Amino acid sequence: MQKYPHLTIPLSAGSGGADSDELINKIFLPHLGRFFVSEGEDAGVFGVGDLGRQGGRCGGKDSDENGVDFALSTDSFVISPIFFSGGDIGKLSVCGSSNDVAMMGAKPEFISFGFMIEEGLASSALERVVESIEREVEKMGLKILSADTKVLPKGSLDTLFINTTCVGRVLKRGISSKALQKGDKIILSAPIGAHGASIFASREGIGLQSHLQSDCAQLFPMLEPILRGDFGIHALRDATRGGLSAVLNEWANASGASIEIDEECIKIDDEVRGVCEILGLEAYMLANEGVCAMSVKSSEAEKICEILRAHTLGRHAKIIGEVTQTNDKKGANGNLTSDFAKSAMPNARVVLKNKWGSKRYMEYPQGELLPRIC
Amino acid sequence: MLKIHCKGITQGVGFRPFVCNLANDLGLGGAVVNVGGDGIIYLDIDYVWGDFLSGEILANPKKRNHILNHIAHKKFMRFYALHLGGLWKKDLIFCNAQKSAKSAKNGVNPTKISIKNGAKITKNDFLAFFSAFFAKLPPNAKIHSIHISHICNATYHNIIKSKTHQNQTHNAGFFILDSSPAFLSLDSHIPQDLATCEHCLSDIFSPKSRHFFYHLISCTNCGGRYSLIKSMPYDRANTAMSAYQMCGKCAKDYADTKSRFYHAQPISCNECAVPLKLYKGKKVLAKNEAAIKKVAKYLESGKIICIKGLGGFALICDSTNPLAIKNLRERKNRPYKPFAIMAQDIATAGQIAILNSAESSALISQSAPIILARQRKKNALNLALEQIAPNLSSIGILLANTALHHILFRFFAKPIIYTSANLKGEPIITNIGQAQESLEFVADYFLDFERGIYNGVDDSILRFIAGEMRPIRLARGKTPHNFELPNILPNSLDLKSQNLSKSTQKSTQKNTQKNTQKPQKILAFGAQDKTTLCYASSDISSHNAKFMLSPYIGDLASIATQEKYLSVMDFFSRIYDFVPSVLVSDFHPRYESVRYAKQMQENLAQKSETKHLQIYHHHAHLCAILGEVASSADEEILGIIWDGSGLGENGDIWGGEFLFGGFREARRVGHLQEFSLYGGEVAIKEIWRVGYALSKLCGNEKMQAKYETYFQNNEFLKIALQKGINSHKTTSVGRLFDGVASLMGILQETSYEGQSGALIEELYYQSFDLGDFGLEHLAGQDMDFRESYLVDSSLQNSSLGDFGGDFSLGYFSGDFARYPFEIQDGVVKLESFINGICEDIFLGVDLRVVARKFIRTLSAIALDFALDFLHGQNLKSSATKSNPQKSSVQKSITQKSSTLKSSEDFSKNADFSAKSSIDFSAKNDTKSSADFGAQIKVCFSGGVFQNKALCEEIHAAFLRENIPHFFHTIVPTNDSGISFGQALFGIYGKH
Repeated sequence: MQKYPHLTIPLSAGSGGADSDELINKIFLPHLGRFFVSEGEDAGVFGVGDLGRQGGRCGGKDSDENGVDFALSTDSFVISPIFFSGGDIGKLSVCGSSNDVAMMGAKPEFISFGFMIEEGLASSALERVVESIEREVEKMGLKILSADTKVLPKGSLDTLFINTTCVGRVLKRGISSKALQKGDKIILSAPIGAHGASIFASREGIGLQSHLQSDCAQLFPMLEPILRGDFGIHALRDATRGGLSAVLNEWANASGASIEIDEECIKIDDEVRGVCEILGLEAYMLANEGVCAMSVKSSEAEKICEILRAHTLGRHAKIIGEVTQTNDKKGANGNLTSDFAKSAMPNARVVLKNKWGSKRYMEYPQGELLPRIC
Repeated sequence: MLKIHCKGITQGVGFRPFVCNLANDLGLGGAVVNVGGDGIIYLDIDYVWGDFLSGEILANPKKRNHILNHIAHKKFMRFYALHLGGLWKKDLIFCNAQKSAKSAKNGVNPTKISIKNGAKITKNDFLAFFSAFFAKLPPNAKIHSIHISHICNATYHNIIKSKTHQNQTHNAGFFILDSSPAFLSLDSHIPQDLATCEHCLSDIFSPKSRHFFYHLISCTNCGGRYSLIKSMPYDRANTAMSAYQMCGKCAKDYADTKSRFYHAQPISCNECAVPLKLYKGKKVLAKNEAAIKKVAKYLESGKIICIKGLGGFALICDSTNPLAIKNLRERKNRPYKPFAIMAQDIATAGQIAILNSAESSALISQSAPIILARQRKKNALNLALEQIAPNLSSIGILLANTALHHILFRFFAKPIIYTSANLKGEPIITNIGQAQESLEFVADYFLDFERGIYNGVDDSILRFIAGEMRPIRLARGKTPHNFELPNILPNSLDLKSQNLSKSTQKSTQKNTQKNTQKPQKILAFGAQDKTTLCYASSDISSHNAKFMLSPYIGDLASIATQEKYLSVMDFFSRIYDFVPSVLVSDFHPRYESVRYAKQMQENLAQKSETKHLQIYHHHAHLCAILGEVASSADEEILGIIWDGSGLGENGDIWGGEFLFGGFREARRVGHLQEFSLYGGEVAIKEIWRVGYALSKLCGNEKMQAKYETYFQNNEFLKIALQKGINSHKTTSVGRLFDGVASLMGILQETSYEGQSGALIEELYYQSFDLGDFGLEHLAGQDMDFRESYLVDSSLQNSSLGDFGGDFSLGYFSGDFARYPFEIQDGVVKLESFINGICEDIFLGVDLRVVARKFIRTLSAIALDFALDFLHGQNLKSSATKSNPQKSSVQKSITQKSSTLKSSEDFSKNADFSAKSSIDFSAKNDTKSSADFGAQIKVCFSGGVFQNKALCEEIHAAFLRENIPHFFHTIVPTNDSGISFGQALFGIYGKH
């Protein structure tokens, strides 16, 4: 294992893309990796059996049928500005953790809060945030297990940070980014990019000129009928930081799979598309807070889409592609014969097919997008 | 018994039968065999070396000159220099040093000959054999080195025995043996695809021939090679022809050493024909000759046909039918990018384009490349030129290069549009199934012959620029390109560092030894777009580096191209059994080639010691041009590297660079002033963003306001641009062309790469219509162009009608002076330059004049910078010689003798006048550059130097100042040359 190559932590290590992976793989996992029960997932799953089993274990396959699995996820929320079109940091902090738990096939039930407040924050602003939290907690019927506040001297942090930890009972076992199967259909629950684009616009002070709204929302209610039903859901992820691209690339890597996406099927609202065109951004790299992707058994994909569409958040749910290969290191170039040329082959990647039939890879978000055309 | 090991192009060119016949004529016994990519001759002669040196040949000047002339003609001077000079060992070294610059430039290496094991040779047979050998060598064979050694008869008999088990050709004691598979080294060439030769051409049109109208005729002098090869040696069984059985007659010819089909691997004829089929969709409509006739008929009615060529499929249609071409443009989603046209012969080509002798001979050469030339405005053949090359008066033209093309032209006598069949951004299609699937809605019909194409390869493109043919794209017929750089002499830095290390620490010494003595195998990964791979092997201690440049691969943005990239890498790695010890790539984190290099290094690192080196894009460009002209491995040059974009050392997008340095490292001594790319990559397509950025940069409010009216209703866009959200800084000259095209109003969104450059170049040449003003600066160079231009320059203003600009052609003051600019501390300031353009535009100056002035200004920037730099270097060197006192020259360069139209405005710039304290005249500069700076070459690389107008202005200007300057002649100046530069860095670089 090579050492972490940077002397100080670059900002891009928090971008949710390749640089974040590098930070985690080279600094955290070497020391803590062996203690993780579910590495590379949105939330950890642990069992609480009748017999008072000790400690955590990987949920899923070897889970005791009599026991109950719980999913737990912790997340810290920092966003600038803290109020944005379609939401605020309070709403986001509940939705974020709640969704992470839901992505493990669990129903969010308990939540904890940690508030880090910068000296000088307007109390009315804080109250607005707390009211927003109140609404979201109420909507899901969450119970608060614990909370903490810290106030720090001016300048030591930006306005307000919130950490939340959410716990919930697993309804559907075996959901994992490692569980993609060849032939699976990839479903996208909603148009992408609205949150990222609206935050971008708000941050640059051009939010007022657009009708962009963050899609920030709790996804469990939309997913509940699917999680409670008997469906072959292999992977489920909300497309937050790094956007759809990060989700699909992480799945491909974790499952050693190739995924082919039909570019035309990815719905992007005109407003978002416009912002992307003007600013030169890629919509599938923008963050979402109320959009999820799932990899499901091919024969059930249409049915699942129908169920999703019955919920307002999922009204644009659509199959956008499929898993074309799994655990095949040769990838599409199966006829390469020299070992060393093979060694240049990536193990798994996400293919984006345009309407002309030309294919390119969906890039994994990595730092800023430097122009590369000659 | 002598073993004569020949390296070079010896396979697929009739080498073995030639040797066999020669030996038989001379009554010599022996054998010839292909081993790997080489040809090995066993010759039953003896020779006593000493006799030869004092022999009669030397004493007989007439005879000697006769041989020398023969040899000189065949470029084998060196061989005889060795022999006739009589100083064997010494001459070998002598020749190493004297290899002519010319041959290195053309990538032709003199033949090397060495003798091992103290071979003893009898002079008469030896001389008779070799003088005939060199004099009569088949036209496509090239011998780059010969090693002669002595083997004992027993060894020879063992070789013969092991190989004479099946259908050997016995000819009076001389044998052609079965080929031996062996791994090639990089100086063994893989044969290149060749256009139909004269003899085959006459056969296909001779009713008596069994090849009459046969579409796949191929002899030892022509036909498919690289495209057909699955593995080496080049034998039928290793090619796409392996599936086809020869008929009796072909088998006879194949075995007949007197036939030109002797061992012609792809041989076939009407009796053992590879079927030719015409499809509509997937249904077969017709076969063989009937199929060709139908194609002709369909062409006549304006249809688009997908037809198989040597290296892949092409889309063709009638070049005189504007509707057909319009259809093709719509279906291919290619609104403006010019199409190439194929002419049946050179006479037809000459009616379409004005061709100088270099262009003509390139066209008729067997590599049959596309030549970018000038259209003849007379248009005698009535081509739909405006559809073929919208708004341009250049044209890409190539000649029929397969029998199928030639036969087709018998039935359809007009030139055809000939463009690679592919999806946008993807490689050329090579199999019918894929063509039918991908081009279902593009082509009306598909014409396919069954024989497969193992290695898809595009058409090569060349252009005559600044006095020479220069490669734009090297592919079919030109690659794989194996070459050496004999001019690069031992690296004095290495010697120095070795000496140094002796006196310093032990560890340093170890490192130096390791670096200098270990032979290296280098794989260079190229850039992102127009990428190529370059394989190199070097043994630093013997100063012998070999290179193999792959065919053009394409833009790695598409997956299909990436797959091709890997399969090309796979092919050559397999053929050359090449496991690299050093991987060299760019630094750009988003280049796929960089990702592949990283991935490979990670995977290989577990098994072997593999280094991954990275080199910045523009340094790689510098290395590429330096490699072509360097006379030593530590030479340093001033590299003027102008291109579209590449990642610079400071994380910005560079592309208007002045670098000083060599293979080891390069220092940025100057660059264009930075400007913004609003929105990042999107500004490369929406070039109005660059135009707007330039208008803001130069502070021309009127121009700025003009842009702002475009987006006044889009608040969002307005704010985004004002705040410069997601914008990058660039110094790129390619982007400057874009921005200026936008300012001029001739283009606001590009639809193909280099479009703005092509349009500005077009206007530049149209400006010659305005009169001969300023033409004198081209005097003495490129007379061909000048004359052909003046004779044939009736370009119409109306060709600007489609530009969509709202600036009309206006007045012309009769002045092609350049725009003002200044250079401060190496930074070429753009404010006054761009402002000058804006003012001209608002004054209504004729756009042709603006284009001409723009190009001249860029040329002046290059020249002034070079003069300034060379001058500075001279001061430095003279200061260090005579006077240790530091002399710093801080100055900006002013315009020289030429009068400036806007000189009033120019002098108003107080800031500038104040700084321009040192103002030397052109004469002084010439002197100083000639006196001191002559050793420092000024070299140009980067895609911008595909612009003929710019290169010719620069060439003329540098000639006037007598500054040694170089453009690319071996590898393309665009990013296709990057892999070569990377490979050089891998060999000679600092790491």
